[in-house]
Amino acid sequence: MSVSEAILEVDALRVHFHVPRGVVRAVDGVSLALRKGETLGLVGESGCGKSTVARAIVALVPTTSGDIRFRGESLIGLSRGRMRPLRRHLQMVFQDPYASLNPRMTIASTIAEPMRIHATVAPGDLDERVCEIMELVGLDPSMRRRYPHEFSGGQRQRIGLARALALEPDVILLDEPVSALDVSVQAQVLNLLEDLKARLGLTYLLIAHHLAVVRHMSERVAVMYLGRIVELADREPLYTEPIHPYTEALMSAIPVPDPVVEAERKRIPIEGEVPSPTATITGCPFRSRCPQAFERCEVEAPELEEHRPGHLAACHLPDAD
Amino acid sequence: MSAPLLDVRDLRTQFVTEEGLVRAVDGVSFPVDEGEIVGLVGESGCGKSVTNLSILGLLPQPQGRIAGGSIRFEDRELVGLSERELRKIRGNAIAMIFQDPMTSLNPYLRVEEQLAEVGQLHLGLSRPQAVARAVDLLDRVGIPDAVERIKSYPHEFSGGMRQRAMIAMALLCDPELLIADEPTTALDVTIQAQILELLKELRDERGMAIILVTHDLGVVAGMCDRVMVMYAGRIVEEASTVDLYATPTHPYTKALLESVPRLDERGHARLRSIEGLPPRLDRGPFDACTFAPRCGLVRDACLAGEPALQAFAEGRRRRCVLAPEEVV
Repeated sequence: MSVSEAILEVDALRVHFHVPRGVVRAVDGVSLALRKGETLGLVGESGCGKSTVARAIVALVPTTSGDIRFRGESLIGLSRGRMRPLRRHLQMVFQDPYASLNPRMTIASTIAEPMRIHATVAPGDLDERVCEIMELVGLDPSMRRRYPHEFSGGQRQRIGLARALALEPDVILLDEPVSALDVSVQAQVLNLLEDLKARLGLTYLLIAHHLAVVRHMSERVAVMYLGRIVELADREPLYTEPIHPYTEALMSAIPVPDPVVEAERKRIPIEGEVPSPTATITGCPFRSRCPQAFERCEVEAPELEEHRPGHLAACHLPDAD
Repeated sequence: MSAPLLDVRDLRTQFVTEEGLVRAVDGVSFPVDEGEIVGLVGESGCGKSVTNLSILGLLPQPQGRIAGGSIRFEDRELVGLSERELRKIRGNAIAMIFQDPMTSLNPYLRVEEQLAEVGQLHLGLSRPQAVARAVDLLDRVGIPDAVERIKSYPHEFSGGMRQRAMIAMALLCDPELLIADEPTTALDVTIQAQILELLKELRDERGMAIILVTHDLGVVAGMCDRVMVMYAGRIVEEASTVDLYATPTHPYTKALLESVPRLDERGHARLRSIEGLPPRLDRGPFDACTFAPRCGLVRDACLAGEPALQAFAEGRRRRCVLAPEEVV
């Protein structure tokens, strides 16, 4: 991929946390590039580090090493003053819309706050702009003087989205944006995200554990396991011809809402559970649960490499064939 | 035909709240046969969990009460039983597992204490017998090195292991009926697959019936023999799992199935969304179909009165004034 296409680049990112039991390697060498206008899905099970990647991008957690570049400019070590104009264009939406909204602020103040801080809109025009944004995300502007508790879960997620859109960002990091919502409301929000992307030319990094949601929304998908990307490819090849045994097992574990299909499906059982995040891993991080692990996996950690055009995986198996 | 294991008839469960009377379950009837896995699906607040809490006699007090109907289990009426009587049934012939295992496990006691106690109290086993039985079951539900691990405290287990420990505890008394309320919702998918497989094996081995409450239509498709779809405290459709997914005949069921993205999706169809929200249950009783305000097929007849839940084919019931073929 040429650098010019990439709007956001994460390069050899490491985020380590020191805890009493040792070091948690939450993110351990993640590289990815977000292309302008795409939705890149980042999937994996709890504790795999997918949310920490997003939090490091917006500097909510400190980066241990590696680089994060937005439009070619490094965000690491920038002063607040230098960071602020860049951060405008890079926004985040969280899973729990209730926890991320201030219960004592009206919806209008919540949506207006970033515009006030960044002084992007004249004070006299703020109210009009708030109404515009509320309409954009499907909220009735006449409700703008109300408080978060007066809204349903789906409406609160729209408010979170409205706040993220207030500064007209280029990139939105969506961290589990629908996993707290009921399915009928989930569909409303997913459709809205697609409409906004098309209308405003947005780029999304979609972090989710729900693989069907990610398939529906993303052009490319990266799978994480224990702080690393184990596979990255375009949506179709990733879902139909996965290379990594973990991706394969993960896909087979997701139930499909069709009893006839379910009766025919074969699950690839993976035994046991993810190793402790403080464990020292030698070799491949997945080898303790991998049904196809062999000697090389114990001694050598596989690099994320291109095995088919545009299809990257961190696995020794394709070499062994 | 013999009587069903569990027979719920016209169950009405209500909560007294500051906002008024909430009719959380409003006339729910269904049987569960021995060895059957029955799914209860629907979105938050539809009454699926309250139905189960009513069966278990675990409604929050003093707000919650069963205002009407009957719950017969093995030919015994559960509604109106004393807490003492209910306690003999609960955790014995009827067991339950929940989304969060820490609601069932005491964080201050070793797993061994908690599991052995059940065997001693309910089965009259000696302490060594009760421990041995607990170890057997932990082993059965897939906890490695159960003899040692039983000495752990719950927090020393991972989420998946705690769920297994809770299932082991539920199975100690060899229940006839297991009520599983979102048992895998908090778990990762690879662990979810292991737990669901385990539940199916246990049904096959022991002929235990399961009521599975879930919002995940994929889990239902893989697990259940029969499904009931709930909306606003009512059953709106009931069918065998295969029939329900092949030909949903209630507009809500149909919309629900079309609103979930599928892992085996080909191409890219826009998701069906259901605009609006379910009615507030403190505004009942209702004199029209409760789904009418969100239904794309609504007509005058839907607003003239609440449709009854009616059988229309073998094993199928629905609550809709339209003919089934008008919905399909």
